[in-house]
Amino acid sequence: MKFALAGNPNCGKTTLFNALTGLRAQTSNYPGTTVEHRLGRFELDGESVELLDLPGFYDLNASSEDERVALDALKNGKPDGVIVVADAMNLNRSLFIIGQILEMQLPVVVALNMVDLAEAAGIRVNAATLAEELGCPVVAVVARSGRGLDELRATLRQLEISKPTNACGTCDGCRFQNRYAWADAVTSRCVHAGDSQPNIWTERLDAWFTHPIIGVVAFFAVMLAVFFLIFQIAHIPMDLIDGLFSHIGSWIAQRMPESDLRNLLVKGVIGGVGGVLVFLPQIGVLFFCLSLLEDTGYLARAAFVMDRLMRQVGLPGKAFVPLLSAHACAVPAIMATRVIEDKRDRLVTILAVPLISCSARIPVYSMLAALLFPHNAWRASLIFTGAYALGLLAAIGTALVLKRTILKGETRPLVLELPSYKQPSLRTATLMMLDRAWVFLRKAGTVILFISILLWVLATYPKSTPPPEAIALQQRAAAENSEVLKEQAERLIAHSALANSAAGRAGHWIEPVLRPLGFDWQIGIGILSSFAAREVIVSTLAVVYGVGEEAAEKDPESLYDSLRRAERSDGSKVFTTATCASLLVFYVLAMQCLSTQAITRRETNSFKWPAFQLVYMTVLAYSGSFLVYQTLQLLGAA
Amino acid sequence: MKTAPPLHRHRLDQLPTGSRAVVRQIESNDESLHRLMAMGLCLGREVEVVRHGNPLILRFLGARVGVSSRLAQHILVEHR
Repeated sequence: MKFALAGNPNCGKTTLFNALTGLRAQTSNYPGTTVEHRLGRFELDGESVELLDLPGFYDLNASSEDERVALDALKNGKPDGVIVVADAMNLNRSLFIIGQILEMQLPVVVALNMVDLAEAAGIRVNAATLAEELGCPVVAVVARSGRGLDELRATLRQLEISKPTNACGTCDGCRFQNRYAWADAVTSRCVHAGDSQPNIWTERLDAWFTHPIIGVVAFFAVMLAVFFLIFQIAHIPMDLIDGLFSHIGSWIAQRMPESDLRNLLVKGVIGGVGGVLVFLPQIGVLFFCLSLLEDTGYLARAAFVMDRLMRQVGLPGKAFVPLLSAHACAVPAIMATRVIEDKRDRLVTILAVPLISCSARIPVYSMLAALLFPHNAWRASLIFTGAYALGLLAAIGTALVLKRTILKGETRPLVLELPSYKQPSLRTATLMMLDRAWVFLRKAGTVILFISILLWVLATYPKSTPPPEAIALQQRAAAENSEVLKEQAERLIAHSALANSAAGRAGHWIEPVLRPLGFDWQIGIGILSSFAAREVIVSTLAVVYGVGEEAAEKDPESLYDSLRRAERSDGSKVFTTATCASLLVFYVLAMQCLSTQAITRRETNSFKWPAFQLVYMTVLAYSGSFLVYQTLQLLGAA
Repeated sequence: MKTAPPLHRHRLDQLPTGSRAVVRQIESNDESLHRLMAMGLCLGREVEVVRHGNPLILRFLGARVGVSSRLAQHILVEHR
């Protein structure tokens, strides 16, 4: 048996779905679309039945992709029954789609939700009269507390195709007007509204939150708090995951003899799994906060006040969530673009978001700031500000250009319900957090793991014999029993192994391409190896320039010092001001993040858009770096 | 393209905060207007302007809805 759950947005449909199915729900894209739907299961008389959560809609006219999915699932999905969630506070609106669904000749039960809030507001809905009017069972429920759910399940067991009603909608004239006339008539017979007052608290809060100036200030305050949480709370489990995986790595390293298999396990597999899991805390915290904000009703106000500002760049107000979250990480940001209704607007946001400086760029910025302005924290912080500003400007510019070229079209005008403020549900937020984490692991995690192993292979094979001077050093170290010499030998071996590997050779091959940007082959290796995750360039440069990965991690200054000393074959310095500035611009603008690509592939349901993202960002990064390097060279900045 | 509305009729985006009106005519066939109509803003129904501006906030059928003035200008109403 399978049932479908339908209803307006903001009618408590998700809460009812969670109350019926709990943890056993799976989210996936509806076949052939990028619309998500959730499939859950629950027990009915000892039989396990399926429940399909349709996207919320106001009309069943296939005018948006959400509506098309809902219509297709009802028409062609042949559910054994449809639960239509109606808002007892606003029955009239719910009747509009109830009428449409009844006409499809499906077995229907109406779940009259939020009857507790309605009663508190002096609105009494007579369920028995309503059932008679509609010709289908009506059950009063409170999804949040679980009231009426047993009765709802009992009704599902004996659901029959509802009798045709005179829910006129196909007659001549305005279909909206006719159906609302019917809805008015039904409402007047079933609903006894006392002296119902508009929600006073909602009115008062809205006076502030939707104010053109105060509202924007409040918005930034709320978002700042969310960011603080993402950075401050998420970094605790992130450090734990980091620590745990490096612990497991060294545990294995100690117990297994030195071999390729050991290195594959430690660097490729464990490093890769750790690299996937480290995203989960940020994803979890962001979606937990977003769910709470949405549940309270604030998120709709935030989209409302931001609409005017965002429209200047050709994006709808709702795009602020991904654009802001991208400062933490582009992966959850791209997952958050689902709130944007218009397909084109959503795609533009997905394409522009990776240009915003995320937290993985911070180690790279730190390194380059230290190289450009050693021992000058004030100027170094200017480098940071400049990099963030450049990323944001590039993202806005990209959005503007895309809206005028390949994704042409007017931004969809705002039509957004501002629901009454209410207490958020921790249960919904927790389920949302788990759901998003699971989607990321299933859809992006496997790809990221695969590529990390592939990159490990490229940096390891083909194997080369250690250089003679390293062997001589090793022998001296053994004779003198010197740890310092031994480490020096190991660094030399690691350096030559990387230089002779496929990645190292590729670094040589691409040097002619990178030379106009001021990069040598060693920086080339860094760029190639950090293709999957940009922060990797720091540890790669540590190996390439013979500092050693661990030493660089413990004492970044030791890495910076040897980078400052590094010379080209002609004796000139590698990391000149021009090269550093060029590398900085490159890392602000280049894609260099496979996780972002994997999630873009999942969210756009195509390989075309991640490929486009990679190409345009690489072109942008190359041209930007070229311009900066050549200009600085001309100005004589050595 | 935009002509002056007939006598006693106003464009919804021109009404000040707090005014109530009845929808008399919807000029455009924009898909987003269909959304508004499905939400209950159709001919003969009452609407209140909760906040004038762009976007503006309307109240109809017991719910508040934020709407771009670009859409609201196509809705002709009669003041109450």
